[in-house]
Amino acid sequence: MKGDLLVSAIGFGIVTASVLAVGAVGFTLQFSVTNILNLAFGSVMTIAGFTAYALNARGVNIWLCLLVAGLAGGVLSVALNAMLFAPLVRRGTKLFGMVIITISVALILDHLVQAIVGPSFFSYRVSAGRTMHLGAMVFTTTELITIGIAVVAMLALHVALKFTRFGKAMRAVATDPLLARACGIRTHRVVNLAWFLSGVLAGMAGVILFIDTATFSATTGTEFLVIIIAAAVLGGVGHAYGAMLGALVVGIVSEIAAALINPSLKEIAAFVLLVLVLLVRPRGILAEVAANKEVVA
Amino acid sequence: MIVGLTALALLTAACSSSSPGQGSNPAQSKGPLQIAIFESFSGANAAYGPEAAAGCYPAIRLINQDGGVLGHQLTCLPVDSKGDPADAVPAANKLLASGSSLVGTLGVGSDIATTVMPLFEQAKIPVFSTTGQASFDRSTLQYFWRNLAPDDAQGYAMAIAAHKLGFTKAAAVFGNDIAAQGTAPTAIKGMRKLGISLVTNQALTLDQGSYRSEVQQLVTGSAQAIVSEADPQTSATYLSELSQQGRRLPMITDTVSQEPSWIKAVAGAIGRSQLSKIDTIVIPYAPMNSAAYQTYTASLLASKAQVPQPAQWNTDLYSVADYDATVIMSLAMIAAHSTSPSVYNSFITKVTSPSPNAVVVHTFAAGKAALQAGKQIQYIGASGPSIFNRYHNSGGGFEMIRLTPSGKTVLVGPITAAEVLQVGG
Repeated sequence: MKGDLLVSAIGFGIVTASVLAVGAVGFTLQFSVTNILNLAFGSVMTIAGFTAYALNARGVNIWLCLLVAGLAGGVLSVALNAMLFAPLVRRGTKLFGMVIITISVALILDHLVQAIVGPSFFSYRVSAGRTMHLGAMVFTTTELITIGIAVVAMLALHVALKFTRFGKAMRAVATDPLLARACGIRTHRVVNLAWFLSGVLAGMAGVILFIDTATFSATTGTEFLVIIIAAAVLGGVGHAYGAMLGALVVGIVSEIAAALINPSLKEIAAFVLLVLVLLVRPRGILAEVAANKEVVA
Repeated sequence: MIVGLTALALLTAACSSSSPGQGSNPAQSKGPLQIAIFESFSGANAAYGPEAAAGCYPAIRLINQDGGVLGHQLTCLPVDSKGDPADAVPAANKLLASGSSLVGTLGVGSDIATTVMPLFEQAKIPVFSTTGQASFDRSTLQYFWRNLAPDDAQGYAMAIAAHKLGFTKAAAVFGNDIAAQGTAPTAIKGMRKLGISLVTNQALTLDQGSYRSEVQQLVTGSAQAIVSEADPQTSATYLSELSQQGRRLPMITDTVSQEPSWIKAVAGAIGRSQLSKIDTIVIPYAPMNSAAYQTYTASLLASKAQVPQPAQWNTDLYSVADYDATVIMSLAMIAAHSTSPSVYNSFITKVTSPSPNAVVVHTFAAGKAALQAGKQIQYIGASGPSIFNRYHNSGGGFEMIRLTPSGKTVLVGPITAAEVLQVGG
């Protein structure tokens, strides 16, 4: 019986990891290039999620809404950078100042969304589909689609980072922006692309999360941000593959803790693991980012 | 010189009579009196503020229509506590320092009551609090009032409901927040006392992305029903995942699950039809076909300008209790012939306690007329009688209800105060 619970918890952990992975990779990707700890990421997830809701409520298929939400997240992120973050960086705002700015943006966006949609709860029109048993693991059709979306997104990102010019340029800027600029890489464009990709992933993560939770409000995205950051940090901040691994570890460990020990230990288990890993490897499991890089605009 | 001194004296008198100051009698000027709605209007619990407003505004509408209180009109003053002590304390201090028009307060829920109540006590402002915390069951605070049943009594009532509905094996699924954990211990204790076997006891971390493992744990047990209290997001995610696993267990929930935000969240997740089939709600007894309730409903629906989508609050007992609280405070002021909170506070029990000579009234207008005719009154409002014990707690029996898909209430059965006392000891 315990064995079955363990196996099913691993299955549930994979679903949770899929939701986390899309968000964590989006978060860490932008950080790797700009070194800006964007705490408005959760708010972008929320706004994109509500963009999808606006379409879905009018009968648009949720998976199509997911794509639109991704686009909305990308555009919003680029706009935030162009209008606010980049000008501040150019004026000399340093790391800590930028963190405060992103917190302020998050608060403004969250309150704005709440003022518009009200303190209510919303749900997408999406069916969970059939329930399938793979051994002791239980999945619904929607959950399998979520896992599939996460896998495709991660693969696409891997291909982009590894085999495209922009991907290589992004990795170069993430490693050493000054040197990258000196080599003729247009860091400004790379930064914009990073923000766009990060926003796309934030938008997709928002929709996937809201499907997973079955209901959402104006604060749901921001509430999920801490665990996304935990997954990103666990894997190695600024390392996309690390974020994927971190999401997998956090997702599975938290579900196992809930299943085998106590449900109230779910989050505790994830954060205890984070602390233990950082004690042994302070930069995360797959650390790579240069420690003393400043913000990049 | 005499003219100048006279002018100066007149000017000084005019300034002192119009300048606010804590402890001065609001009746000296005939300006509006304020009932503060001290609740969350933003953040995760942003629905609580509008919920309380749905009690305050209908009440003051009727009160002002009937000429107000001792020549004063009443206003509702929303104050955002943000549901967090760190924000609530400065908000309370600011409110209490802002002037002498404040005569009473609604709200002050479980998340902030312990930190904020002492401030209102010190300022001698009556508070009708929505906290259900057991720590207030024997409160010695003179300005604390509670006209809804406390969480521990609610827990026993839920256990009795499970027993009356014939369940012998149940699962306890409660959020790990302060409100739900106020109900959980007595629900569990009550079920054990009534011979109901507890298959699993889960304290859910709120607002997680998934509860699949917790649901799996529940499913592998042999529970016949779930006894539960959790916030809208948590409940919706949990029940959606339970439904995905093909299980539809009957539920016994409490007052939280007749709040519009809870209903919307869970109905959105599992469907309104399924929710109405499986959920039995245990709430303090409030006769919804009474004259007082009809009066409340009519005024609520007429308060559209201040209360958006007013119909959604019609069956929300927290809104109803806040309506009664506003009426009670107003009648107490009339009975005391004073709008000074430190004076009328002791008259709250005088207008709500039963007595052979008391005229039973169900509306502010009837109460005001009786008081002005020199009579003693007992106000029995939309939430039923408010009979306060020496700790300023009022609680009576409960009832089990179901909500139909269209939102109508169907009575399943009563749970008397005596039954709660028997189980609770």
